[in-house]
Amino acid sequence: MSGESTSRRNFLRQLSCALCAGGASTLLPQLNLIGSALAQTTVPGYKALVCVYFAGGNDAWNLLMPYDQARYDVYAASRSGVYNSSSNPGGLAIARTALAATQISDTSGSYALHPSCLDRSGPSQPGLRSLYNQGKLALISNIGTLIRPISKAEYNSTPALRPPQLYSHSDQENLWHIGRTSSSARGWGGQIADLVRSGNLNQVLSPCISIGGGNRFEIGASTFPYQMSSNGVTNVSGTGTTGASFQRAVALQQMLDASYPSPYQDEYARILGRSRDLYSLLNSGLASGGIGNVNTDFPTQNSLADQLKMVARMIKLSRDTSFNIQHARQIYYVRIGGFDMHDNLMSTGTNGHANLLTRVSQALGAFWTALGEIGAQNQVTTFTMSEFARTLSTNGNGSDHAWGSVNMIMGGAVQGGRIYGAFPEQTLNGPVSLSRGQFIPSTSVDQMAATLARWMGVTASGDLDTIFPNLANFPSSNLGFMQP
Amino acid sequence: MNRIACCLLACCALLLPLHAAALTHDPLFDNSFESPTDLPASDAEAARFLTQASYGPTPAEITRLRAIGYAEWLRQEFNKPATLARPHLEAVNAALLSAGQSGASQNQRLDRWFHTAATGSDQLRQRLAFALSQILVISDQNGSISGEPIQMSEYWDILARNAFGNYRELIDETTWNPSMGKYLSHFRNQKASADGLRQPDENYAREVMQLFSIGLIERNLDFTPILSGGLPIPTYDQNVVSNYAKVFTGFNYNNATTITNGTNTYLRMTCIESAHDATAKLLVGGSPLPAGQTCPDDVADGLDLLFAHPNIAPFISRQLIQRFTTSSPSPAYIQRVAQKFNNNGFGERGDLSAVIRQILLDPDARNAPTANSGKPREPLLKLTALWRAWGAQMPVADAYGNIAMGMTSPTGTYGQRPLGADTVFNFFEPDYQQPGAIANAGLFSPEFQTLNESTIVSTANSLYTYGYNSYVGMSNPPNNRPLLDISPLTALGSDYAAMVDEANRRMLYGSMSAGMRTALINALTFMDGNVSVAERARSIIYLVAISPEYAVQR
Repeated sequence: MSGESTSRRNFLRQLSCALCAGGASTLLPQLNLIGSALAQTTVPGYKALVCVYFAGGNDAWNLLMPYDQARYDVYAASRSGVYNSSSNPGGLAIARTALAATQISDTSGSYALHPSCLDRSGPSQPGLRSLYNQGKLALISNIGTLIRPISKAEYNSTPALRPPQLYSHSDQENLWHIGRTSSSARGWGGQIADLVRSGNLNQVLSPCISIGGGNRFEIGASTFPYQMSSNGVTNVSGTGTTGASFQRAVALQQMLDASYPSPYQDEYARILGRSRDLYSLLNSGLASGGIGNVNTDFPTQNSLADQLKMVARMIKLSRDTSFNIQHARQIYYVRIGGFDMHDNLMSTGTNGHANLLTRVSQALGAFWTALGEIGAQNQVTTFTMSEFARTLSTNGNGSDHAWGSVNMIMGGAVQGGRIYGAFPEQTLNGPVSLSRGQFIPSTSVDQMAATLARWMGVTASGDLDTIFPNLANFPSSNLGFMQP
Repeated sequence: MNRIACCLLACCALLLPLHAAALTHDPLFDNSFESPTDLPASDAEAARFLTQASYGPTPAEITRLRAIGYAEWLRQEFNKPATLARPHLEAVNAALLSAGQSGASQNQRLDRWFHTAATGSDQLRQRLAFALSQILVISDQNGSISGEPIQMSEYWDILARNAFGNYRELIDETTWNPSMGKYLSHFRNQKASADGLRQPDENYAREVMQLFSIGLIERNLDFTPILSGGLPIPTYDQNVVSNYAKVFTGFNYNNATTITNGTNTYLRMTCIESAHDATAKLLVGGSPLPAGQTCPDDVADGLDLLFAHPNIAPFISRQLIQRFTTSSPSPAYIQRVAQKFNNNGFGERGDLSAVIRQILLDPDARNAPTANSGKPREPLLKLTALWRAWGAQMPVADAYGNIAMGMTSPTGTYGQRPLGADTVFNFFEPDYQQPGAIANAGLFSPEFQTLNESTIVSTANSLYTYGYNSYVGMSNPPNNRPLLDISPLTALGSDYAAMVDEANRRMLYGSMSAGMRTALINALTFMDGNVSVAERARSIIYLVAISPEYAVQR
């Protein structure tokens, strides 16, 4: 398989560079002892992207709200007024008084984040509002899938100018993953990885790692995501190094090494083989007391926190020059579901939007803290995506599928404390909104993704145009939310 | 009743379902008895068919199929009543409550599902219900129904009862089912408010089209896309969704008299006319519904239009093929099945018994496999086939009548959970193509969407627990899961080749490759003399269960 032999050539090439890159201890184990007596060294110039996918379509216009009275009143009216379980159960707006504690400001005016964005206490960790105020979190307002900028008149007159299959979960999610509006098997994350992975020492481990399941975002031409769970890696039971266990291991390996007439059987063998190959390496790092441990407390009962904790551990392991990963560029993917709230959006229960955003805020705050523990806050940029935002107007107790949304970018290299893009006027059937308050985006996926690609080292315009064929349709390929 | 003329659409046959037709019409056996001429030629052929058509072959079922032939086997399956889940769950629930315990939970629902899969007589009916549950998805991962296992069991029974009936009847029953109503939020969906600020919920309107009937783009009978100027043609736009949202308004509990009252039961929903949008609507294909119709008429007409759409035959047929025989059916295969959907041979359209018969008896299913044919086994079907291949001994029912099967959270290990997918898009999507050789060959591979370095090991390790470590004769056997009967292997003593051949017969319908056979025989041969015959037997069962050849049915 050509991909494999290319990666082996790269691996051998990198081995020879390992000595000059300070990775000698991987070849001469006794150097490990010297290494532990000195400060831990990390791969120089390391950078990583972490994609946090909100599955179901986040009701983003309750994540970022206008706070000045005039614009707030428009917001509340479009959402049928402030929610009250007895007097106004169909309302979707949050009371302005409830937004006082999460106020933020931007040059474009006064805003507030959802009340769930406050700091976590016990232990004290920043929430999304604090991160914004510290300049570590940026917001992108009214971002969505586009072929090119489109006015409301064009939306109505020329359906062909709209991105395909608007409002369909699976199709819109796919467009966010692939960064273009024509069909593609590859995601923009995988394509970035194709171009920047050559500096990674261990090429058997993909630069793209998913803790959040299968995804198209991380698939490139020569890159395929390695998937692991938030619990780490597991060995195949019943296969070992002695006795009957050993004989079973031998037989299994023989079956995995065979080639099959069926591509389905071949692929199964390949996946199980890769899993076993990487198990021993990663397990030694992730074992209790190993290099890949972080002490930061993460919230419990929080799947996003579980996933991000494993990301932090893998980042730590991957940067450590005494361990045999030594990646200079990585892309991670995590995923949290439950956002498709046609019903019970305003419920205060576990499945309501407020609780979901609390989990998001606390998970990201813990992740930020863990990155501080491992000295990687400036090296890791985390960003959110979701297939679409939701209708401003209510369906009686929830919202339906919409379009332009709000994304977040978090990191030490981010120019945070600002809102990028344009905050839309929130009347229904307004200048940039359709009848139910679906917003025509002011900013495209391509622009956000290209800005992140650039930070990861993909700067040549030819490369960016290859990954994002619609990029030239937009006024700028750099939204400016990363520090220069 | 005001029926909408379907003259718009070319191939519209009868719209009225004919329930009885599916069960009694059988071209081979009308008014006469003949010796079957469609006997499987070997145990291997019979076992391969049963792998496709049941939760896994058993030696007894192989023998029975060989004696009566495919058509008679199917006819008998069509006539078997459904093994019901809801009455069982109600009984367990009542017993728990009267003993002062908390009532039945989703755990008991899962136990029942596994038990029926492992032992139920109505194997094909239950397999088809499982396949339909992956198209007409509801899930206990949704908070609105996660606490309602009895109601969800009724939904399963609806699928099972209608598995060999008419698809139009099936989408009627699922549309009016309260669990579906809550899952896709048309339950208590109201018409727009007078000021227009509140609009009807669009969830069911969209998914009933995108996933349950016609899909996103116009298709030929063989599922290939119809193109206009080289581009696919959408079947509907957002306006159609908004209009269907108005159709699905007013639903509430069976005994409700307003949009807010009523008792929570599994019974068919009723419709509150005062909450129903009775305005004129423009639906799929530009078909108008006049103003002033009752809710049941609006819903019936709306569903009739979807059922009459030419897409429904290839859209549903292709997905059912993918659940039974092959992930990448040829256009010709899809077309032959879709033709049976459109006309079962007796003028009925939507007869699922004719569809499943064609799927299983089609030459593409019965002929020897080609390199690209077949499909990865669904993860849970690997487990059920293991139990059935080895005559697993079921646990005894507990004091409340529940039989614990030991697997109440299969999502973490198998990535599948009956009526428990993460989203309405099921565990895996029909169009998924695994990147690399499979996608490059233009093949589809839905089951690979959830098969990765992590899940492949968690499934293997669960098969270790339920295969290697759950057998009759073990010391301290668990009493809450099935135990494999490994005696057919241990009886063979030190004849290692015969052991491997028996595992081949029971788990791989004789298709084991020479290389795999050698590897397994060698494993047994090179184990130390003090390794027990039971451990050797279990080793073979386990190695086959996690092998690439077992992973893919061909």
